Amino acid sequence: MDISPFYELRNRLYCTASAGCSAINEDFRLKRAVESFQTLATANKAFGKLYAMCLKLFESDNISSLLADCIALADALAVTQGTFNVSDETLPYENNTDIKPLNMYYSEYHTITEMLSNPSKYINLRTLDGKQLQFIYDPRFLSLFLKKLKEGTNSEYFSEFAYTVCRSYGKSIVPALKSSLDISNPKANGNAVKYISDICGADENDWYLELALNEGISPDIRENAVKALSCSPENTDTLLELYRTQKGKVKNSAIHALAVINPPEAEPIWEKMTKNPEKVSENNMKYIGLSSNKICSDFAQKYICGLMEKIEELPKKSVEANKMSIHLLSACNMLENKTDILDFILRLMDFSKESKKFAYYNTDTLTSLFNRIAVNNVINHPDEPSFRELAANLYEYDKNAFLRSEFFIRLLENPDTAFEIVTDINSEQRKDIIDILNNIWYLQSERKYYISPNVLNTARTNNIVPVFENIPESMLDFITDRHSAKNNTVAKALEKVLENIGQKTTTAKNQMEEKCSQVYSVFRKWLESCNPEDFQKIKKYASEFVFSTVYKFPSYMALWFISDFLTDEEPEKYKDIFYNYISVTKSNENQYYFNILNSSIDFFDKFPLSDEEKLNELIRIEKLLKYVFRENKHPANEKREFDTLRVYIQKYSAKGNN
Amino acid sequence: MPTTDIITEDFVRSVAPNASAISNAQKISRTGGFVKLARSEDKTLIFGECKGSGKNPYYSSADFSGDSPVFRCSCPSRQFPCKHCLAIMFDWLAGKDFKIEEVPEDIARKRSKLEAKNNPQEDTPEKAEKKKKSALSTAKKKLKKQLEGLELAENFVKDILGRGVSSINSTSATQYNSLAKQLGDYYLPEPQAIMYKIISSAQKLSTNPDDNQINEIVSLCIRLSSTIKKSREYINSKLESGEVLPENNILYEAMGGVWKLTQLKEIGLYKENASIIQLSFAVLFDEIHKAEIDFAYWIDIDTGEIFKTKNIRPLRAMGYIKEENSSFGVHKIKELYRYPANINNRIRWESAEISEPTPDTYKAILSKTEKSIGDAVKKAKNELKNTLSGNTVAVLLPFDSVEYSVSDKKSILRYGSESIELAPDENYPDTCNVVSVLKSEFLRNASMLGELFYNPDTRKFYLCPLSVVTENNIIRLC
Repeated sequence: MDISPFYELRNRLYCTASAGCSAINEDFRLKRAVESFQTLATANKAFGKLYAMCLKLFESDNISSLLADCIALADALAVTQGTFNVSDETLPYENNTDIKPLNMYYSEYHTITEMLSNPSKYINLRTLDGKQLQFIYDPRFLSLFLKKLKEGTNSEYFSEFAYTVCRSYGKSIVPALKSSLDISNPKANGNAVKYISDICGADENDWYLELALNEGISPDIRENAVKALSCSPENTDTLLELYRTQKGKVKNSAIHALAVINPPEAEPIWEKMTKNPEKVSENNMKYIGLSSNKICSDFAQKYICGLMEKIEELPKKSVEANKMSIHLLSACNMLENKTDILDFILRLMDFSKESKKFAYYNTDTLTSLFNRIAVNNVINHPDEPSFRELAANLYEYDKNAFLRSEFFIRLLENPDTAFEIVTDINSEQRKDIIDILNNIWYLQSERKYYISPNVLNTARTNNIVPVFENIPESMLDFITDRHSAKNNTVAKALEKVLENIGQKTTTAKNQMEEKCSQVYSVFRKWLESCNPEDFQKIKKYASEFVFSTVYKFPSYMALWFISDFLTDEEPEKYKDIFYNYISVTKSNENQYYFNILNSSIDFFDKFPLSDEEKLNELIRIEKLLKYVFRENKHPANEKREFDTLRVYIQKYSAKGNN
Repeated sequence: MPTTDIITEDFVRSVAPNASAISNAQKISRTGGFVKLARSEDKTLIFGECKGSGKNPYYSSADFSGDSPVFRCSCPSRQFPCKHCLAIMFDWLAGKDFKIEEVPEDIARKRSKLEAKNNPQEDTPEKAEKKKKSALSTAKKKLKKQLEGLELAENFVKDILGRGVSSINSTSATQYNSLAKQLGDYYLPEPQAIMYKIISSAQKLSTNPDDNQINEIVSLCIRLSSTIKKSREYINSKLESGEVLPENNILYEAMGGVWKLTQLKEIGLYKENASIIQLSFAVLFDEIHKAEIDFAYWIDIDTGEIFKTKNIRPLRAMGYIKEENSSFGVHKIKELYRYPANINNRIRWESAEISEPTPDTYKAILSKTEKSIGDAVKKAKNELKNTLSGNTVAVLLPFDSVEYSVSDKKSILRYGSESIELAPDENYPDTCNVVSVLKSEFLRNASMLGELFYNPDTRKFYLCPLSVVTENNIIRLC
C-alpha cells in the first residue's frame, strides 16, 4: 500500500501549525492533502480516525486544539509505520588498532577530552600524568583524536601531542589515520600523512606515491604525501617528474623533498633557483635552507654578502637599513643544513657587532637564530659528525653566544657534560639555561622526558626529541645553585648580589626574586608530572631551595608552592614566612594598593603550624598593617584586609579555645 | 549488617560530592595524612585522626553499622562527605594498617541517637488520621490550582498555533514570557519549562529557518498541548474520585511533580534486593531546565530491564548538588525505587553494596538481551507514539556483527536476517565514530546498548550506540 498521501498530510499539518491555523479554510494545500488521504482512510481504521479529525479542522471553532490533536495522532501513526532494516551492501570492519578500552571515570576522561576540544587548553596536554595517558588507548579518545586531526589545527602543542600519540600506538594506528583522511574532500588537510610518515618512514612509500600521483585529491593531502617521499632516495625520479609537471603546493613539496634527499640530479633545480638572486622568493629561500647542496650553500653565502654590502652603504639606523637587516636575518635561515659555513657565520657575527647596522634586530637575534640552526642540524643529521663539529666550533668561537646550543646538544648527548659548561655563567645566561630546562616535559607513555628546539628561537619546528628517562642530579644541582656554590668565582658573585640585597638594591633584589620564581615554576611543572621514580628526589631539592630562600625573598609564588607541595616538613620551618611576606611586600611602595593578604592567606592556612602559632603570626601582621595603613591611607583596601584578618584570627582563636 | 567490605573504589567515588573531593582525598591518602587509623572489631566502623591546618587533628570516621553509611568529621568543610572521610576509605582500600580499637564514646552516642531517629514512635490513630486529612486537603488544593494553570497554558498553545510559530516576535515573546512566568504560581513547572523552550526556540529562528527548526517547535507545542489535555482529564478524574494523592502515572511527573521515595514505596514502585550494573554514563545539558544532568543507563542483572538514573544539577545550584560519576561495579540494593513509566523507568536508591563484576555478571547481562531487532523496535514504537514519552528508548540488542556500508561508510548492526543503521542522536553525537574505531573482535557476537529513535524525515528507526557488552567487559562509547 502506498502511504505517501499520509506523509504528505502530516507534512501539511506541520506547515499549517507553522504558518498559523487562523486562515485554515484558505489552505488549499492542506485541503488537497486531506482529499488525497481519503483512499487510505477507508483502508485503515487509524487512518480513518485521522481523516475524520482533519475534516473537522475546516468546520471547528477550536481549530488550534484540534490541529494539535491531528498532529499528535499523525506523529503516532508515523512512528508505528517506521521501518528499520537496511538493504545496503556491507563489509565487516577490519580494525586492528591497538586500543585498550579503559574503565575510566567520566570526571577523569572528561578533563582530557576538554583539553582536546579546546585549543586554548592544548598546552595542558603536556601535563597529562601516567593514568591519564593510559586513556589515549581508549576508543573514545582515539575517535576524538582522529576527529581533531581531520578538522586540522596548526597548534604546535597539538602537533607535539599528536606525534606522541601516534608513536605510542606505533604502526597499529596507521589504518585509523588513513581512514581519517577524507580523500573525497577537496579541502581535506593532510596532517595524517605527516604522522604516518613519522611512524613508518619508507615502509609506506607506495601509499605516499599513490597519494602524490593522484591529481583528484586535496592539494593539502598531496602536499604532505609528496613531502613524505623524502623518506627514500629512490623517489628522486618521481619527485623530479612532479617538479616538472606539477604546479603550486605539489611542485613546492617536490622541491622540499628533493632538498631533503639532496640527489645530484636535483642540482639543475638549485642552479635555476639561484640564477637570479633578485628573484629568489621566500619559499625558495626555505628550500635552499633545507638542502645541504654546495650550490645552495654558495648561493646563501653570496646572497647574504650582497645584503651586508647594501647595509654598509645605507645610512646607519635608517628605515632602509632596518628593512634590509630584517631581510638579512630572514636570509640567514638559508644557512641551515650546511656544514661548510663556520667562517661565514663568524664573519656575520663580527659584522653584526662591528657595523651595528642591525638597528631593528640586534646581535642577540642573530645569535639566537644560529643557536637554533646548530641544534636542528644535529637533530636532523645525527649520523653526520660535520654538523656536530660546526656546533662545537661555534661554541669555541664565542662561548657566551653559543652556550645555549652547545648546552642543548650536550643535554641530548650526555646531560652530565651539559652541566659542566654552565658552572661559570652570568645571571642572564643562567636564566636562558633554566628556560631551556623549563621546556623539558615528561611523557608517561614513552617513560621519557622530552624537549623541543622551539625554546631556542621564535621559529617553530615540529621536532620533539627525548632527552633522558630520569632527571639527573646535576640538573637539580644547577637549578638550586648548589653547584655554583662550589665554584669560588660564582660564589663570590652571589655573595655580592646578596650584599646588594642587604643594601636593598632594587635591581639585585628583583633579579633574585625573578630567579626564585623561575625555579619555582620549573619545580612546579616537574612535581605535577614527572617520572614517579624522580618525585621524591625533586621534592627534596625543591624543599631545600625553597626554605633557604623564602625568608630573604618571600613571594606569592613561594607561598603557593609551599602550600601545594611542601606541607609535610617540620613546623619550625614555616614560622614567620607569612609575616615576612606581608612585611616585605607592604614595604614596597607599589604594592600596598593590592590585597596582598587576601590573595595569600589561604596558602598560610595550609601551613602545618599550630593554631596558636598561626594566631600569633596574624596578630603581629595586624599590628604591622595598622602601621602601614596609618602611613598610607587606602580605606577600602584597609577594610578588606582587616576583615579577612579578623575572620582568620577568630578561626584560630575558636579552635584554640576548643 | 554491612561492614567495611562494601568499600571499593567505585563505592568511594559514588559517595564523593565531586571530582575535586576525590583528588584531594587521594592526595591526603598518598601523602599519609592520617596519623592514626583504627577500626572496630566487627569492621562496621573505621576512624582516624588526620593532620589538618589546625593544631588539633581532624577526627574522621566512616560508619557502616546502619542501613546506609554515615560519615563524620570534625573538619569545618561544608562538603559531605568531606575529603578526610573519603581519604580514610582510600587508606582502607590501600591496605594500610588499621588497629582494632573500641568504638569511641562520642560515635557510640551518635549511633544510638541515629537509631532512635530511624525508628520513631508510631503516631496514635488520631494523629495519623489528622495527618492524612491534612495531606488530602493540601493535595486537593494543589490539583485545583493546577487546573487553573492549565487554562493559562492552553491559551498559550492556542494563540501560538493560531498565529503560527514563526509569528513570534520580540513583543509577543515578552507577553508570552510573562504568561509563562505566571504559570510558576500554579505548581506546573514542567509545562512552564516547555513554554520557555518554545518561546526561546522561536526567538532564535533565523530569517530563513529550515523545516527541522520549525518542526521542532511545533512538536514542542504538540507535547505541551497533549500534556495539558491529559493532565486536565487526570486531575478532573482525581477530584471526582477523591483519590487525590499521587499514583502510578507518568502525568504526575509530566506536570512537574517530584516524587519522594516514601511516595514511591507507598504505591508499590520498588523492588527488594535488586542487582544492577551501569551500562553507560554521560553528563547531558538540558536546555529546557537550564541544568546539567548526570545521566546513566543501568541493567537489572536478574530481569534484564533497562533503567535510567538522572541527577539533575540546575546551573544556578551547581556548587551545592553532588555530581554523579561513572560506576563499574555491581550494585546490590536493598530497596530500589522506580518512577512510573512503561519502559526505562527512572530509578533511585539510598545505599548499595558495590562489588566487582565477574564473568558471570557479563554472561547474565548477555542472556538478557532483546530477542530480535524487530521486538525491540516494536517496544520502541509502543512507547514513542505516546506524545508524553521521550524521543528515545534504550534497549540492549544482540548482534552477529557491526559492519559498514560500502556506499556511505555508515555502521550497520546485523543480527540474524535483521539489520539496523547506527546513527548519532542529539545527546550522543560522537558514539558512532567510536564504534568505527573499535577493534574488529569487539564488533562480532556481542550486545550493544543503544537508544532507538525514529527519524520522521527518513521514516526509519535508528540505534544510537552507547556501549558494547562482551563476555568480559562493558566497553563504553561515551
